[in-house]
Amino acid sequence: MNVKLPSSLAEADASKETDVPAHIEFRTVTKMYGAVTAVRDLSLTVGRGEFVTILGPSGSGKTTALMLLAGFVAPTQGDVLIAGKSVAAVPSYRRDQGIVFQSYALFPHLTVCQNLEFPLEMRGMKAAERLPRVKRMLERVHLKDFGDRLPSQLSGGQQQRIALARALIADPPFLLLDEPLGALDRNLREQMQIEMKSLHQEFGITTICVTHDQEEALTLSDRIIVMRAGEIEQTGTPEALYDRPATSFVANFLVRPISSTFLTSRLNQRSSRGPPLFL
Amino acid sequence: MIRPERISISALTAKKGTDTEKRQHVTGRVKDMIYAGPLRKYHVRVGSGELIVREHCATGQTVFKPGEEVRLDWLRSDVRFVKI
Repeated sequence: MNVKLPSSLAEADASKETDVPAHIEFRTVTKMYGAVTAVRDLSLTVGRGEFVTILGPSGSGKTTALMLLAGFVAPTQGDVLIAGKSVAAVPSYRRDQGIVFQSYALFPHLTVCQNLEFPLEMRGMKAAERLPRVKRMLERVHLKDFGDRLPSQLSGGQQQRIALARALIADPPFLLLDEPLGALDRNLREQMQIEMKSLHQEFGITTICVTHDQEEALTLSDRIIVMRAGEIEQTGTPEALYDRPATSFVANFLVRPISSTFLTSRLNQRSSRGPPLFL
Repeated sequence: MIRPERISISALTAKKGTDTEKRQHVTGRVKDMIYAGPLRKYHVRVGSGELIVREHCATGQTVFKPGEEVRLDWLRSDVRFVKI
């Protein structure tokens, strides 16, 4: 993939690590909660600049995978590597990632500007540097006149954009999205899909998205990882998974629920020509 | 399996296309037609099973009602084999 790295931080990163092909790597990771195995022997790599979606029903282990990557939980076995280095011992707050939660998790008592300033302040940036950066970011998400509002004075879609802006503002090496569009209504979701895609292209940032929304996965991703019961069922481009699913689970999962479409019935009827149809 | 949007639905009396060699067909009876704005979904009983057909609404299409007999056909190359 042709990767664009617009931020100074990302460029510095890249020059250090051009010989490392995988940006993010799971190496035979298992996560147990008591006797329950949430993720089993998971191995996957994500390239720099790639948009990868982990798709699966609830209980498939997709959220656990994201939590492992974010450092909110530690693997029971195996290792998670970022830019070739194990992050097992690195606490979440030192991983520098940008995260967008389904609930957005904006600070309700801070204005939009203060919400965006927060990650910069935490990294020790001076106010004089912070403000122009916040202004630029607000322009990028088309909310330049909203800086003085509180999150409660924004619509759901606007809050979503602010959450995304806050996740991106400190030039994180990668972005984690947890059901990013789950709380939006249908029309807005379609619009945000397009916006997120163009933001991803503009920033060129490695992105891992976790969702159970097939359409979201098909629209946004360079590559989709379908998970089932803690393991990877199939990996591929959206076209490959939709058009050439390897299993009935993948075939069934990659359609919108409104038109649940997989043919489970076996037709014993002979067609006009050719072999019997087993559909 | 075959995706519902790959199946085309037509009247039994409709003329067949020129690529019949490449296609397979079955006949069935419409059980249900669901209108969903830009889409129409047909549930068609074929033998003891049921096929779902998804059609983008367009001008000039025949709309079938429950009870009507129809022909369903698709390209052989659109059929996929998957592990159950």
